[in-house]
Amino acid sequence: MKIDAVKTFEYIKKKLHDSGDLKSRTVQFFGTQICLCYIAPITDNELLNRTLIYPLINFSAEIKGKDIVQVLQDRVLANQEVTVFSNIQSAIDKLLAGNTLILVDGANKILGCDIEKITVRAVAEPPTSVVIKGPREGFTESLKFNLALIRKRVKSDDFVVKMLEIGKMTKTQVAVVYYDSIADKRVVKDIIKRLQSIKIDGIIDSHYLVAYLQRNKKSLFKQVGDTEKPDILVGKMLEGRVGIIVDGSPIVLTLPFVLLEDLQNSDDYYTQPIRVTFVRALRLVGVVLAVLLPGIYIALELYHYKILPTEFLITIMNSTQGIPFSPFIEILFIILLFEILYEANIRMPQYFGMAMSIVGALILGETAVNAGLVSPPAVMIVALSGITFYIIPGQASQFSILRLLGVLVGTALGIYGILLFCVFILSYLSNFDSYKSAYLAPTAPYIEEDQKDSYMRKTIDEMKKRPKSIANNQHNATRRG
Amino acid sequence: MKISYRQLSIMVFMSFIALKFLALPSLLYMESKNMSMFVALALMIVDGLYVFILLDLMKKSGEKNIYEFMKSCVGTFFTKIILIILILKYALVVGNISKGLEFFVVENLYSEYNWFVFVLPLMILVGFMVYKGVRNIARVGEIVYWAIVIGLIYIALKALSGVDVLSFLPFFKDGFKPLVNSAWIHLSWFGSATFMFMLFGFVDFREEKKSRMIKYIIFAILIVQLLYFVFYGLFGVTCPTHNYCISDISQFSSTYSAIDELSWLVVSMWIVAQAIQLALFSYCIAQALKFLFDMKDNWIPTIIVMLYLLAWSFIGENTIRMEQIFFTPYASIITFVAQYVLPIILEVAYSIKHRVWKNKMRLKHEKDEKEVKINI
Amino acid sequence: MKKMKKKLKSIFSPKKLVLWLSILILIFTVPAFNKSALSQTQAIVTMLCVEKEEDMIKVAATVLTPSQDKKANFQVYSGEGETLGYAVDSVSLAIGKEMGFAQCKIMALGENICSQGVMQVLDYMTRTKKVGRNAVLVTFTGDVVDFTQSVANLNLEKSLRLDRIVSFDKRYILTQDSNIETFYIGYYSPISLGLMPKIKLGTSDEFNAIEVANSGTSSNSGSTESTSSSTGGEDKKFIINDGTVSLFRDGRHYIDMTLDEVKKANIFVNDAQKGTIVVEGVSDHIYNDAKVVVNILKKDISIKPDFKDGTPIYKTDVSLTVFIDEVIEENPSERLLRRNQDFLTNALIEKIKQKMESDMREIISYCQNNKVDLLGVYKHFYALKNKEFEEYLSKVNEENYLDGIDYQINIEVKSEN
Repeated sequence: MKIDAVKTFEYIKKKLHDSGDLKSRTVQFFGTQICLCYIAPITDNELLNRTLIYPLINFSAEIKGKDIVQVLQDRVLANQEVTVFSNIQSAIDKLLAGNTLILVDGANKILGCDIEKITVRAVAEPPTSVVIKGPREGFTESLKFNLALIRKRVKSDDFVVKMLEIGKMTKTQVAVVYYDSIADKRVVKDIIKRLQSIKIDGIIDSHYLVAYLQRNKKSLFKQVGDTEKPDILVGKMLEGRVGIIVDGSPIVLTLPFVLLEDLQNSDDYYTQPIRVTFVRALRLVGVVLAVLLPGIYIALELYHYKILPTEFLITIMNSTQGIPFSPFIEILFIILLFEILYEANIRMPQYFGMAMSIVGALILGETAVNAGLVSPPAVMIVALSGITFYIIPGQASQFSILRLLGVLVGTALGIYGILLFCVFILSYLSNFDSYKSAYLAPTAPYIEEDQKDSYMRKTIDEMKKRPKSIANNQHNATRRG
Repeated sequence: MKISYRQLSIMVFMSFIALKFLALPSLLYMESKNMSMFVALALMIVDGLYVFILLDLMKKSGEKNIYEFMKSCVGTFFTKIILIILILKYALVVGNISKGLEFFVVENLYSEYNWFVFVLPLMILVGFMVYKGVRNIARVGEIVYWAIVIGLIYIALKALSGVDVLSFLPFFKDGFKPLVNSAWIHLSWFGSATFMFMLFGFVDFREEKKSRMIKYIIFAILIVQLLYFVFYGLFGVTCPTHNYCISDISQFSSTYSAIDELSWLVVSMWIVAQAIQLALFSYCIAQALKFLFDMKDNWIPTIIVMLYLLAWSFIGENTIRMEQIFFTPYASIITFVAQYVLPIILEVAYSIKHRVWKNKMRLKHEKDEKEVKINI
Repeated sequence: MKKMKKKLKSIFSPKKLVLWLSILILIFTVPAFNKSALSQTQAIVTMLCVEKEEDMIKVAATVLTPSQDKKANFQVYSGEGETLGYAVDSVSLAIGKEMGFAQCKIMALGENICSQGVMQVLDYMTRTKKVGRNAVLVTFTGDVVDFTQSVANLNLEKSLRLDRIVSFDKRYILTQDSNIETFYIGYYSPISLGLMPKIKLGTSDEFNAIEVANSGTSSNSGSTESTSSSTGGEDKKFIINDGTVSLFRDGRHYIDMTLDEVKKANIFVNDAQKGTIVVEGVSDHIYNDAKVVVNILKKDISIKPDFKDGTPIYKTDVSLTVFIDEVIEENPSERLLRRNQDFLTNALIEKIKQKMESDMREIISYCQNNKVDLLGVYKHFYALKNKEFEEYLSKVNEENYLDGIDYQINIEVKSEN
């Protein structure tokens, strides 16, 4: 079927419900009418003029007897990517993704050129993973750009990018990236299969995919890793993980995920190993403090004063004297106060937030203590626990829920309850295998080789093998180079 | 859902030390006085040897579970009887640990309590771990292993300076009779390796290192002996009045607070170790019930085990009374059969079966050869 | 039937069962959400004093009381009853709180109760009231309430704690730790011997006395009486720790040992490492009729029980490393330049040996006269020469077994250099 350029444009216009940003430019090319059809906001005007309109107008060579579409493709269009569509729907899809369609009167194909205007935020250090030493580049919202950041670091023919399109309405580009010879083939296949089976209107951010990728859907615990930095992603891929990049999101998902990952930080690999071992131990203590401290405090107050040294008991008794609430209500009140302050603080404009945090933390806390509503030890305990959340920011959200549970258990059953609660959590997490990797590895199951980079860290040259904790290609377990 | 050889070794270690630091040392002292350490030592060494017999049987069973293996060795009827004996043994251990845990927690931590409420979370925990299977229990054991070891050594070393070595002398003053008597009466506190029966077919022997198992067993024996040394050396003649060996040692070694903060951590780790052991032996009951009644699902045996735990909460006897009621020589007989006789029976039955089978194969081979000759 | 089975299965499904049990726990534990701290509902006792007066047991307890004024943190309450249990309950009744003894660090027992036997008191307090067996044990003289109040004031006014004073003692004065457990061990041992430091409550300014103003709140059974604080001369009390140790046999007070006697007994005890020896009349090329104070830096005791021809020999080797503390001479012989190592002369060593040996002999005869085995003779013979010792015991009157032993003493004195 032959195309009528103007009529086809009209058809496309109708198909896009007379959308106001759909523009066209008609030129005469050796007597044939050619209509360039594009969506103005996502089209690079300069590229359009330079690579399409200018060559079309200025082309003067003889074309007699030749197929005009072929001539355009071969000799006129100065664009790197020219696609030929025989189906109008696929042409429209590309038009929406930033292509300019070239409708040629009398031709039976439509040509498309990629002159998408890429609007990119400048590469900046991501706020969630600030480092003192090490690269500061962070991902942006553009998939292409993010791939460029990765490619810059990865110059191997082994690196694979699998492109998928998810979302009926958004048709979001999703890239699955991995090293072919390192990643476990079964894991890659499983991830791609899961992504392909997603039926959803649209993907706005990479976290939309988390629900489809995690095994235990109702679980509180994080099961998919994420990063905002290309150096971390490449590091993870070199251990056998698979990255999932979503267009429009600066956060890249990684799989398989083990709990230990959040205990590690990209900084760790750029710092002295002994210092890292110390810091990781601190983080571990931080986890315990963050989750259990308020619960233990209540348990001690309600049931076990006998284990406190007498002087310490006197101090606590003196400071809790006259508080009208029970220890449980008191701690709950402070926890809720802190949670509200936290929520308000992160959503407030920055200039206002600063002032608010001072008002919140200092003035509210101080006045509550002075008014005799809460006791100083309770404020201190909750504040300490709240601060230690952020020693492992990746787990902060689940810690706050676990802390509440810890408070409940501590109130109801004392230290005995807290101990059983801890064993229960450990037991629950021990079962949490996903993508052929144990959640608590390399601690449970204990993997001796992986201890070089677990709670302690050895020097890079000592870590000769890739971690066994993560499902990867064990035939290629030695880190080369 | 297999467990690694290291995990098995850790489970053996934990079961070796599990029941040893509650009332047992003071009970042993009643008969065997200052030589009680040697009773524990001898029985633990025997237990250690039986670990290797059971390991050998485990390897012989290959992928078969205990039910299939025993069926092939002694037939269905005897298999079921053995399973009942094993269930009794496990039930005794579970009862002992749960009661020990109850009194330990109550005596040391609470001034007022309702154990019925306290047993509910324990039921949830044990039920969960039993339902999820042995791999789960093994992994949790692996996580807390070092914390428990360091804790026990810390407690022992802290109190070591107060030990009066003279209280161990003279050696064997009353001969060996009281020791043998004491060993027999308190046999049910030992027999730690019986849980291995239910792990047939669940252990991955690819990374087997015999030396590793020996190391863990020796380590367990040394830790128990060290703590017993401290316990008997510290308290001497008053040992029978100390029902909670571990907390009493930590209490006695610190004057200024009832239990100082670090010892407190250790006591906590001990509760964790007890909970894991409770889960392990409850798992063994559930598994044995599953085989006995040919159940397919884990769920019903798990509920039975949970109810069994609950039932113990209604028996309000203290540990010493418990010992008199439930750990009489009858219990020793059960332990003796389950731990010391059964593995030997299975070894013998297996070798007879194996020999008969080998002979059959040889006869068949010879017959075939003859037939071939005739054909020629 | 099938439907019901299905329904049952859904109710008791693994996840649901966890939920049901969690709800059950919540139901039982909801009251805890409104529960006050245990330290507010219980009267936390840090010290308990017991005495018997005219067939009535009198107790006084120091109770931790929250107060912004730190001087009011220890309040003393007292009560009496026919039995110890009644007496403790009467205090509970008066203050409207159950008594919690988990923090009880000191148990003080009065003279009367000590002479009648302390085992029942200790047994009740440890088994029923859960007083930790590491609580320090002392005996006291004087009124039970006055004594308790004075000890509480000692803590409040001078930041001194009796348990620490007594525990500090053990390095210098006492022969062993004094707490309930050690008392039990001594009581149940074959010689049934126990030791307790004796703290006196005095009204005069004696040597070693610490003055405390006797003021505060006290309650007598059933009524809470408040007295205003006064530091007048009349109310002045003195806590006196002069190193006296009470000896107990079969759980009853037997005799008191003076500081001097205890120090002599200390020579046989390895734990008591510190001490001083004073020798007089040392004369040689360095000293001229000098009085020399020697500080013991290290002491090694080796006790070797033995038998020779059926006679038990208690051989004690003492090795002392000493440092010369003070030299008091009225007429120093000449102006000598003395280095550290020159001080320990042979004459001085000989004097020290003599002094030590005479001290040791004295304490041995003290033990023999009073029939108390302070030196661990029984323990050593029983452990190391069991058969011979049992034979020996069967031959002599068990009470006098100390008399027939040959005590051999060998002393070696070394300088720290």
